[in-house]
Parts: sequence; structure tokens; C-alpha cells
Amino acid sequence: MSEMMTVLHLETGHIVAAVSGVAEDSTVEDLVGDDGLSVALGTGRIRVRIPTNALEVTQLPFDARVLDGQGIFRVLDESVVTVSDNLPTALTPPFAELTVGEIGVVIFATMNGPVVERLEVPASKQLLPLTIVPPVGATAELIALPGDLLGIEATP
Amino acid sequence: MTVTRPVFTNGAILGAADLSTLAELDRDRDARHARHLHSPGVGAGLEVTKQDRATADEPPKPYVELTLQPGYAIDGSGRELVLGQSMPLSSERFFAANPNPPADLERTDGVSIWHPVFVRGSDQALANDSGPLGCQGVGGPTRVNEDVEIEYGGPGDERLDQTPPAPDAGPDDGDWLVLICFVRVDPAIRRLVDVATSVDGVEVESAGLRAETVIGRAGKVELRAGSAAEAGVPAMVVSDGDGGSLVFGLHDGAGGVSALLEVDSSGNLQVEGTLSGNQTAGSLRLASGVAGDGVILPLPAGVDQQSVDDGATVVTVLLVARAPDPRSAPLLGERFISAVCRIDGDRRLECWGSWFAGGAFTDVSTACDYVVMATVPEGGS
Repeated sequence: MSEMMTVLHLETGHIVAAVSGVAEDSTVEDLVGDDGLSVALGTGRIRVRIPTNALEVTQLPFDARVLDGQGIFRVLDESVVTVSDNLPTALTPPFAELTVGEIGVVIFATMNGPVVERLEVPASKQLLPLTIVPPVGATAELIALPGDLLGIEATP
Repeated sequence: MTVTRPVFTNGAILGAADLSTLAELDRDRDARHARHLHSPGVGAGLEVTKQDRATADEPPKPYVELTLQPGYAIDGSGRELVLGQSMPLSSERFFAANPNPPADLERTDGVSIWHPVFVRGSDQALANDSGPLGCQGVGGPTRVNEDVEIEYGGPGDERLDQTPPAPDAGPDDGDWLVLICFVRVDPAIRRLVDVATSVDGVEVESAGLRAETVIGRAGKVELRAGSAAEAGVPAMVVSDGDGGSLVFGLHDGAGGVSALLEVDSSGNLQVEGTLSGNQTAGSLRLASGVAGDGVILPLPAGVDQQSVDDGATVVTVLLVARAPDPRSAPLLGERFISAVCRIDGDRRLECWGSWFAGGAFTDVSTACDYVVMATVPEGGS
């Protein structure tokens, strides 16, 4: 068993895929190609494609829980932080304590390809429903929120 | 032309032509030997040394003084070029040959592009200074200095084709140019400013050997990188010892070569280092690990995608779906069943399964253990 693993994560740190046995200098393109990573988080089979330029690569010590996707994990200071031992589920407010000004990521799945948007925790700390208008034709959205939240849902 | 040599008999009266023919006989023979058995170039010395200088301007502008060191070369006609004393490279002669050197457009200081510098033979007749002189003296020189001249070429002259003389001819009159360096100039100060021995893939060449067969005198032929067999000098030796062997290694300083690579008379290969590069037929390389849904499985180290696309390397992938920890089930009592664990043509993994209990299924992405095997079929490269 290799001692290290390579994880793919969003800028929020949320890990969306992991692999071991690859070269230390593997890039996002090496691991997922130019088309990005198609993810189906949590329950159901709704998929959202994360474009390559929205992904980052980090090498971490081998962790079977992360590789098996048994929960929600984030990369923080070059180590793994367990956000939840449970798989991501539908996101419904209210959420855990949010910090005003923190930045989250929303990735919409559309027929023309993924659209990545940022959302900032407002002073009201009300994130859902999203104030971002989904692009035309959006069918699903992946949301990585401050406060360690991660989920996929069909675009309302 | 038939090669002719003079024959002398007792009592014969020798004329100047007979003695000249005798002198030319050896000279022509040497030139034919050098031309047909060697490639032209520098045989020894002829380095161009540099000293940094600066003008008296304010601010001072840098330039260099270049000196061609003594040495030896053979030109393409087989003529030997012997430089017994160092010779300076002249800026004035450069600009006489190249009045408007083109500027290097990749620079902003006006310095020119590289120009080749050559040496060529030049016969200089010497005035008669022995024997009867004046009105009683014989006409014509009695000595010829086989001088070496420096010639400054234009950009591209280093690639010009030069035609050797006829197979039976002696050396030419110094028409052949032997490259010794490249220089740049600064037209603003009309000075040489840089020197190089290689530009754009063209480099100063050493005289070489033309041969199809090299025969060892005592059962051995050695090719080595240094003139002396000192410790550390790399060498390749073919010998008939122990039935025959080919050895590449470094001289040990005691007359032997310490083998780094050796092939014996049975074809056995022994290497002191590691073999890398293209796989040999029948070899196998592996990559293994754990991969999550959506990632592309890597190729083994040393295997490139092009060789796979070309069919030179065959890739086989073994996948074993991993079962998540039962404690991670969404609901207590659920069991996990793997549904899909496969790769597409890009080795992108699709791996998911379902937690289920009582007929309700909860699909989740998961991971698998993988082994990627790359082999080169027998008969392949």
C-alpha cells in the first residue's frame, strides 16, 4: 500500500476524488483529463462536472476513508479534516455557524458545460435559497459552502 | 592523372622540374591520404582565447580581444594547415569582409548575429636569399611558406558546400575553409564582442577518420575519449579475450577498463546501472493503488500514452471494487453492493454502488483497487 495519496479538491478544500499510486507531480489534467471530473455526491445519481480549472491537487498521507469516499473531507493546511462521517445529502438550511465574508463555490451543470460561480456569506448569513441566478439550462448544482458543507442537488 | 615518381640514374643531370616533382610527390601523397582517409577539421590546438576589454567611452562599452592559438588542421583537399604561433583575430579585417553585419533582432544593443571564422591555407613565396643574388642570381623564389590565413565569413557561410578536388589530385591552393569559431561584433564601436564554437547546430569540427573496418593488431580495438588512458577516461573495447567481448567503461588508471556494460561471446549483457527507456519485448511494468470514481488511472512509470496509442504497448487493467466500511451506511442495517466498476477508453474510472435495505437503494460513488499492467508484445520494439 502506498504511503501517500493524491486528492482532488475545490478551492474551499472539499475533496471530491482521490487516488493513490500516481506520480507525485501529477497535475489535475493528468488525473481527470481536460474534461474535468464528473461527481455524484451523496445519495442519488445526480452528476455535476467540475471543470479542470476549478480543481486543485494535493498530496496527503494515505487515508482509506478519503479514498473510499466515506464521508465529507476537506484539505486544510496540508492535512485531511473530516467534515462529516456521513455522505453528503441534500442541503437544507439552517446550517452550522457561518462566517460572514467566507467564500463558497457553486458549480452548475448545464448542457453547454459547467458554470462555476462564487458566493460570499452575506451579513445575513442566509445562503439558501441561492441568490445566484442559475444559468439557462442548468439541471443540477454542486454547492460547497463555508462551514464545511458540500452537496449536490437538482437545480430548482 | 597518373601518379608519377622520378627515377634517378648515375650521371643524369637533374633539372628543377625533377626536384620539384620529387617534392610534390610526397606532398600530393600526403594530401590524398589525408583527404581520402580523414574528414577535414581541427587536429590539435586552434582554440580561440578571449580577453575582455572595454572602450574608453563613457560609459565604457565592452568588447573582446580574440587570439587564435597554435595548432593543426587538415582541410578538405588534404592540405595541412599548421599554425606555429598565435594569431590575433582582427576587427578591421572582419569589417573589411563584412561592412554591414546584420543585427541580432533578439537583442536590443545592436550587436550582430553570429558570423563564422575560418582558416585556410595560403602559399607565400619567399624571395631568394641564398646563392647568387642580383644580376647573377636565378629568377624565382626557392621557398614557399605554407601559411595559414584567417577569413571572416558571412552568416550562413558555415553551411556552404565545398567541393573536394579530384581523387588523384594533390592539395588545393588554400581554397578550402576550415571553421574555427563564430564571432559577434558591435558595429557601433566596430569591435568583436563575443566568440562561440557552436551556433545553431553547427560546431567547430575535429578532423575525423574515414573507415569501414578497423582491425586490432593484437586482438583488441579501443575507442576512448581522451588521448591518454588515464583513470576515469571513458572507453569502449572490442577484444577477442575469453572468446570475444564488447566492453564500455572507464579506464582504471592501471591499463584496464572497468566495465559498466559488457556483452560476452554468448550474447549475455551485464549492466552496472539501470536500464531505462522503451520497454523490451516481453517486459512488464505495473502501476497500482486505490482510485475513486471519476479519476483517470495512471500508466506505469516509463510508459507513455503514445506507445499505447500506437499499439507498441498493451495495457491491461484489473479492478476490484472496494466495499465501504459498513459503519458508514446512511441508515443502520443497510448493506452495500457494488454496481459498476469499470474504465472507459481513457482509463477513466466509473465506480459506484448502492446501499440497500428492504428494497430501497441509495447510490453512492466509491473506489476500487487497481492494477495497470503494461507489456510489450514479443516482436515489438
